[in-house]
Amino acid sequence: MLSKELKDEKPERIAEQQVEDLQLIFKRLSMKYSDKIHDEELKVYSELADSLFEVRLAKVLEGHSLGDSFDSWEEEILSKLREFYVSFVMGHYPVRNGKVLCRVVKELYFSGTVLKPGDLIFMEVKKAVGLLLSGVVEPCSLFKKTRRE
Amino acid sequence: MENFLRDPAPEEASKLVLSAYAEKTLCVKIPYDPDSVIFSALLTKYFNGEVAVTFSSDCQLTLNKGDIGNSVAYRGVEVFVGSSAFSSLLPLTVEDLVPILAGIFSDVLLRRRKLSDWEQRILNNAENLGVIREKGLKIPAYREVPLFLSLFYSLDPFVPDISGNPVNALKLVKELNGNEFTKLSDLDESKLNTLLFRLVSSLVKVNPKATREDVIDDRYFYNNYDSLELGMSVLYVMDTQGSPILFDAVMNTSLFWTFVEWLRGLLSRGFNVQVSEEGNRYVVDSNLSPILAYIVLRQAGKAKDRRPVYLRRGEKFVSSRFFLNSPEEGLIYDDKD
Repeated sequence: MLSKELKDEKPERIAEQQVEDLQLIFKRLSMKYSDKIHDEELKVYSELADSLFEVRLAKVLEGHSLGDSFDSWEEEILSKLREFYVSFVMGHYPVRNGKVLCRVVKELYFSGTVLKPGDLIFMEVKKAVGLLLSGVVEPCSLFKKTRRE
Repeated sequence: MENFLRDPAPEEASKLVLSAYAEKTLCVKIPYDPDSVIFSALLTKYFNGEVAVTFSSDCQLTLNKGDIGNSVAYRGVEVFVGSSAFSSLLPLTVEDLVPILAGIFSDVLLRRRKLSDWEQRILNNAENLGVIREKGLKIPAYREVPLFLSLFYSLDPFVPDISGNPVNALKLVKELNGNEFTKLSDLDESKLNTLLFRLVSSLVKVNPKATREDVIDDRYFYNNYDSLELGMSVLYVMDTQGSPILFDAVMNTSLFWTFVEWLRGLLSRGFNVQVSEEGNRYVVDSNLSPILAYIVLRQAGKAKDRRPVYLRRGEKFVSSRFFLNSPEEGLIYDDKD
């Protein structure tokens, strides 16, 4: 899988079923054996998976699409992360002391209260990014125009 | 209700609010208006932990605005503050002077009320920080811009045929032997009295009870800011852009001047306000924002009920969160039309 990935500039299509078949092999291997040789073997496969991640990540960052591959969610996450990063540096969000103002998108439990969509929360950037990726909050953009103006 | 029969106790409320700084995280429930947003942003500015601002859920700290006055409730203790703006309850410093003035004066304009005794006390203290108080005309920025522009920009009072109309505003100044560059301070007492007479005569056309008191008031200035214009600008900005931008301005106070410039940009295109009642809403033909149109309507005794104000935009109608129960902010189009 990795060698194929390294041959082309564009990401390979890797179907979900293909990865699930592999997962089953590794699960069996992990469950069946418990010795140094097999531990080393699994370590090598882990390193290959890590390299696969790096190569495909680099391709997504260069603007290639993962299509309907098993890891297409990477694209959405990176796109959100990239947009947040650029807007953050460009001063599009209200920030102070490592915190950023976000708008609640889905109900969120906070300090004994259930926050509703449209409420605001001033939270640590790292936490805000986590909740942004899971679609619970979105940073308040200062330069968003009205829907049709 | 028992609390509300007592005299306002803003000093006590101020202490109650400051005790919330002991919390690790804080949730504040507020009404949707600029004063309450500025209050919560000021609180957040100096709070170490995370802060949530909700417009609907119950919280540790709750700000209430009602017909009989305002109150602050924190962990089971509720204190009545009368008509005072919530922004006036927080510590007055040079750093936060502009947001506090913006909070107080936006509320004075929105609620069509006089300054409370507490707010006057706060403003007396603000004079030690450089605020200038003088008895003057209630037209915006008269210390900074020519008189005809000041008359042209005036929304409260909205002077029929003069507000929003630069030609007529300049004509009036020329009748006083002035020109495009004449400032209010250039008028002698006799011309000033003539101007006052002309303004009141115009106001009487929409409000028969109008007197000189409607055009003269204690006026407050700080650096280039006129508190009246500052209050109006935050009403406009929150109405059209939403609350986060006000939040950011409290953190970076120089942005308030940008708001003043935005308002002047809007008003300098000229404006008019024609209202009609259509079922459960007021429909206004105007290029102002919904809240600014509402402020003009209130002066003529209109829009006193809870019916929302919509502006006509071609075939569509637009309002804002102040009038609608919506999680959206900025101008909100009525999709039903």
